[in-house]
Amino acid sequence: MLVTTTTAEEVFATLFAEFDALAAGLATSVRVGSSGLSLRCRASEGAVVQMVAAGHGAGPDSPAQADDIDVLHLLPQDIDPALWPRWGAAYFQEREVEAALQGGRYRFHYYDDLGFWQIFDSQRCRGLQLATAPEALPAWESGSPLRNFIHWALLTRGAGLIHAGTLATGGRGVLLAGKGGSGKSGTVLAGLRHGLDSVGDDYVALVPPAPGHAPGASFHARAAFGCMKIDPAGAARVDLPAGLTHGKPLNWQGKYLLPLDAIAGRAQPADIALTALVLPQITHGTRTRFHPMGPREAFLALAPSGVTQIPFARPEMARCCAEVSRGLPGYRMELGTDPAEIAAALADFIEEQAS
Amino acid sequence: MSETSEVTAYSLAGPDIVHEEFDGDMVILNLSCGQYFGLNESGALLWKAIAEGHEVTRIAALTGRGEELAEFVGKLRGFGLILPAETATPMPDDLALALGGAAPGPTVDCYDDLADLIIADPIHDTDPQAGWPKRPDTP
Repeated sequence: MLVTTTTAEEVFATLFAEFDALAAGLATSVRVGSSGLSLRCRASEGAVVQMVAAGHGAGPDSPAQADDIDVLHLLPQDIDPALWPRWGAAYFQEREVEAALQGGRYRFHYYDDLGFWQIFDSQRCRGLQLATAPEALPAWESGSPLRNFIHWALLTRGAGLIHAGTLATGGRGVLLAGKGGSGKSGTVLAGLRHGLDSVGDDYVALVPPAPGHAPGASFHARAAFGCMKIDPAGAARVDLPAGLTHGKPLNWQGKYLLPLDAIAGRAQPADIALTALVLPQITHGTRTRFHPMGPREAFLALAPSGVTQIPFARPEMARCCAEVSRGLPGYRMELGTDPAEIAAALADFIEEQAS
Repeated sequence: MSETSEVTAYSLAGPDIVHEEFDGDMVILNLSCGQYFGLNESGALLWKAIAEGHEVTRIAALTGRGEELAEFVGKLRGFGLILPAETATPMPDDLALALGGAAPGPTVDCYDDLADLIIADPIHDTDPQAGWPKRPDTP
């Protein structure tokens, strides 16, 4: 079926009308928890199901239950060829397509390099993922499998996936924002290795206080993926035990994908209450220092990656970034150079914020 | 004749134009080109009235500075933030009161230092080693 901005709604409706029949033909299945939601993924071959399970740190599928997100991973042999979607123009201009379909029932992502589709029915929280071959998956899917579907489902509940790290102690903690190279991941790694907890380093679910919330109610961050990407140099800086990385393959970015629990050496929480938004900065100073920053500065640090990294939800994410920037006190964090000192300074900072 | 005397009201130029207020500071983001805009207090108040689609002649009458308004609207149009709207929306009393006391000298400043981040394509504009948003050809 030819997909254009004009036909997309009709084509997607036709595809989703076949959802139950398509699901019946898929032999493998996994159910995982992510961001406080139950996600089920079904496929005809096991590799995708295993990837989803590994990316979310899940065990085997559990008995039937109500799922918050239900995704089918489809290959060409799983579906009538006449139903397979094809983009109907020479180029896929994602932002123009998004603007044209804004506010509709369906959200989608089309990765034209691979002919890879992710289509989401936001009314039923069902997803269809179509790949032209078992190996034709975007390289980043292994680190954050099905992240677009998770984000789109969270949006229906007033939450969203945000590109930020987290560190916490005693169930309270900070959201760490900043672009690549700002020191965000190094800070999370230092914290995990020196007694702090985290619900995620790259993407976490940001859950705002419920409408009409009591004064003092917190934003929460929930674990979306159970793993963290670490480059070999970063692993060496924090003396990561060799057993964690020995023999492990490097991903497409030349990084290890390791469970947060294993990095910390203890089980990590699924949810933390946020007390501040922190912007790490590499300054090579002798000690870690915190300086207050205004909500405008926090927003401009958080919004660019927030609105860009996940397709088909940019205005909503801009609002989400603004809300958390207004709702949490903001700080610039000048990073010291000793991982143990950085972690201790953050632990003291979180304690002070909580008191 | 200026455009404000011909156009009844304006609306946002599209869903890619988003605006947020922080302690009185208004920030407008154009997600399609990555520019963002800072407005002073007077500019923020006029932006609010214009972006909500209120009648331009009413805004001008309340502020008493039609020429200044026309110039401000011209800048917003030039930045691609607003488009003429076919109909105007009724103005709430509190906004009318605020416009009556608005300070002169609205400003809108354009910044593009975040443009590379906002419009970077996280798929294709990614260096596998350095990560997004470092482009593969960035030294």
